[in-house]
Amino acid sequence: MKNIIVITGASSGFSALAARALANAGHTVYASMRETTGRNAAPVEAAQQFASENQVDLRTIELDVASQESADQAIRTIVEKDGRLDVVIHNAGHMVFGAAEAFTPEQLLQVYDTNVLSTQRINRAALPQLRKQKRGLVLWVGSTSTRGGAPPYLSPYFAAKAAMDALAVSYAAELNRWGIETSIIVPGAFTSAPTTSHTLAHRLTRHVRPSTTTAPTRTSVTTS
Amino acid sequence: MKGFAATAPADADVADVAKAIVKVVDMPFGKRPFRVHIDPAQDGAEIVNGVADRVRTEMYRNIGLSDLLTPIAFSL
Repeated sequence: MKNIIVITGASSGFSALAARALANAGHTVYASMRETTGRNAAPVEAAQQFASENQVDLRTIELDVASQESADQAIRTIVEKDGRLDVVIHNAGHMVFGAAEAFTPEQLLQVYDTNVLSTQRINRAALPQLRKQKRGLVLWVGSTSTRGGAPPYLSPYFAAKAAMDALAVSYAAELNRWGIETSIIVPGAFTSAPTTSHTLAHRLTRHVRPSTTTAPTRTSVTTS
Repeated sequence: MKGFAATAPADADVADVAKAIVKVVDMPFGKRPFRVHIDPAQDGAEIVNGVADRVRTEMYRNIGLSDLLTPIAFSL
């Protein structure tokens, strides 16, 4: 069955790959990202090129996960165009590197915003439509760090992913009642990233957003 | 970080994550897995999540909420 899918953080990383793979499988995919006419103009163009070369339905849409208004607008646009929305994929994320104590609460909040609150904005924008359809899928891209052995100095990201996972688990039960299914994809560490030759190895390809914080001792793990 | 990086096999392919997502989306409604681990480094999350998810299921059954463990398939 052909699904209408929206995926967040699709300018790079897992998300860009997943958007292409889903389009190749015959789905209509909205690869969402912020600044589609600004900094992310290149990923938008790359997605358009991929769609035309492969004759698949890969589209891009402006969606800044830090803004409820932007999330609402994106979901509204999709439903207006396609009449429905079948699958929501939470993938937007951002990782910072450094000693836990070195981060200001504001910097931590920013990491939480991108990794956790982003999903709440998308859910509040999209779930009314999914409930109305009485059918849907919410797919969360988590991290093995939340329950596996994980190294130090990535505390803001790991703490945020743990929060996102807990949110996903609670949502799952609540949404089942409305005919909305949940799946949590749990990627581990990979040493290579598809859009970069950086090899600072870790849970990596999720660094879909270049840093807007100034975390001390952060290294260049961001790839886009 | 070098030690940590070494835990992931060199041939680990991030495209496997995208493949796993496609596979889940293409499954029939109501049959999709609650979790899918794609973890070449095998850091143990699959074991701990397995226990945690099972305990959650038991808890829901114990408090009479087992109907919330699977999605309702409404006739459309």
